[in-house]
Amino acid sequence: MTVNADLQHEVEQFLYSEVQLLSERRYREWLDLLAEDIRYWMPVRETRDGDGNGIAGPEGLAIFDDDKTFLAARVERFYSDVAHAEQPPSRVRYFVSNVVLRARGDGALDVGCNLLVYPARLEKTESFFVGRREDVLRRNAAGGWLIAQRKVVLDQVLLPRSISLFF
Amino acid sequence: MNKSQADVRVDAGLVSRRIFFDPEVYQEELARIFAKCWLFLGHESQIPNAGDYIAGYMGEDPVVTWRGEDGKVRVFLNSCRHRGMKVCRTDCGNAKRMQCSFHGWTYSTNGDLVGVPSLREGYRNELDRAQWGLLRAPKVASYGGLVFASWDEGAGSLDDYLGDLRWYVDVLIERQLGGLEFLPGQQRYALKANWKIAGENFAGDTYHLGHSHASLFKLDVRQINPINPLAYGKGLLYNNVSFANGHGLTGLVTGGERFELDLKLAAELGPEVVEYVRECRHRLETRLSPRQAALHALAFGNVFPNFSLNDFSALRPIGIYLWHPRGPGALESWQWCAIDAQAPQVIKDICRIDFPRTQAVAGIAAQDDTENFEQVTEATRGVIGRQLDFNYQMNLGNDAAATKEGYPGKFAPYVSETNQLGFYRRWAQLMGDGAQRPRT
Repeated sequence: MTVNADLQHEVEQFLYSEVQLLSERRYREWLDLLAEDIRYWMPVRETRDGDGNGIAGPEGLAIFDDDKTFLAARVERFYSDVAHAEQPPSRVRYFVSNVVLRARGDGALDVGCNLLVYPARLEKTESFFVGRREDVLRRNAAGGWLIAQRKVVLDQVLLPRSISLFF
Repeated sequence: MNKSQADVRVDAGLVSRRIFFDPEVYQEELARIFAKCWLFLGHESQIPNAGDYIAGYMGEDPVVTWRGEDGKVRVFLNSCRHRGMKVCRTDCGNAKRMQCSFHGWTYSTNGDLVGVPSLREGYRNELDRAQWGLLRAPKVASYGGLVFASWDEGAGSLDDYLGDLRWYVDVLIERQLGGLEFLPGQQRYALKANWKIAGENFAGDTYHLGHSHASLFKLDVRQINPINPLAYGKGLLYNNVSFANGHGLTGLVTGGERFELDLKLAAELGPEVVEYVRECRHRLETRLSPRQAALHALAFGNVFPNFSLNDFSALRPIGIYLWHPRGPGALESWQWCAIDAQAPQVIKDICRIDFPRTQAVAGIAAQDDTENFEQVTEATRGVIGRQLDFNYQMNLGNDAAATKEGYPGKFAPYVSETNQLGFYRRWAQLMGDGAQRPRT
């Protein structure tokens, strides 16, 4: 796969359409974009001496460490009428930028992007989550894209609130 | 409305909403509770080597828990004695010295001031460095590797502070074949809620489980985890137990069923895991009394004031939670995941993914707690709302003879608010006249 302006444009449009599904709470459609064997992973972050990244490794603590089955359970929970954190639903705006593509040997793409997520709920509850996403995208049978892996690293150590949304 | 009543009236099952709002009450709490009580800081396994440190807080005071070159763990106020700059700006690491970034005062692992730039020109070598070491918490002790400290020179021992709660905590500690191990990293998040709402919740709020977390019980639980966490919710006889110093445990099962359940679930994961569960039981039987061994695990609990934990099973992660006060209407939740260092790898892997999924920052339980805790606080700050009381009258008076033969602590019906009243009884004792002011 050759990374060129057309591919860049196509992938960016895919990322925009994906977060639009999240904004509109079309979570079941969003799940369709995820590979069956996805690891949806958000390691915790610390300020560590001698380690500028401070990102927990695969054996460390995570904020999300989900397979598709559990992501689907989260979705069904949000659609239940007793998930108080999202009942009534939050209003969530997503900003995706700094999209960088790199072709992988296996025909898939490494796609990194910066992410700003702003949930607002009820009268005045609001917060910001800021970080970078590193995805592996591969073509699905229909010629579209499938998210095969997703790692999200937030820049905040102290998160502004608990998390009741997807990144 | 009686304007001079105490804020906490245990016999009536009433607690004034004022104490969840009032900035003066909050400042008194910092002085009378957080500067006096034994507070949890971390686990010895996080700082195994000389020079290892973790940063934390005692109330709003930043502290460093630092293992000295002599192997001893000390706790210092994280603040240079010259102009107050934090001497430690990282969450964890290893250091033989800490040097302030402001003017360069330098401290050794035992807190001594060992370096002062311009000592000769600026201080004519007359600075009494012995007087200007890092401020050291006078009381530091650990229980089962859990490190606590107190700023109160006159505080009794940690053992006395934990009191009868130790009899139960021993089950958690002694069950671990290789000792407790904290996974690297921690979760932290802010809530716009009073710290007591979180503390009392873990101390005894069984009432909220079915409603606040109703969404969990609607899920196909097999989706959550190979170790079905909700298998622990059905058909068991639960107990609430409260203790003199305001500590509370809830969801305790005395009949041995937790072990039986673990065995059943272990069978689905293979003979190695069955063997592991049996070894845990054997270890408990050889080290503790038969009644303690039969408990197998605890459930929820809160060590007064702000250290909560959960421990349901030898196959599930142990959740460790701190509720740091950040003003009358704000707290920070700090959370760790603890596991048995010698658990089979399959169990370690399950624990690692189970913890973030349930009672954690993005967990399907904690999200709904945040919503409730925040809106409680929001609805309490108004001039009318804060004059009311919260109602803790559930099963009030039905727990007069609340002892259970052979078990320490005060027992109460599973659906009761006795544990919460124990929390506020202790709160009121410590606050003294700070909690007896006329209402505004």
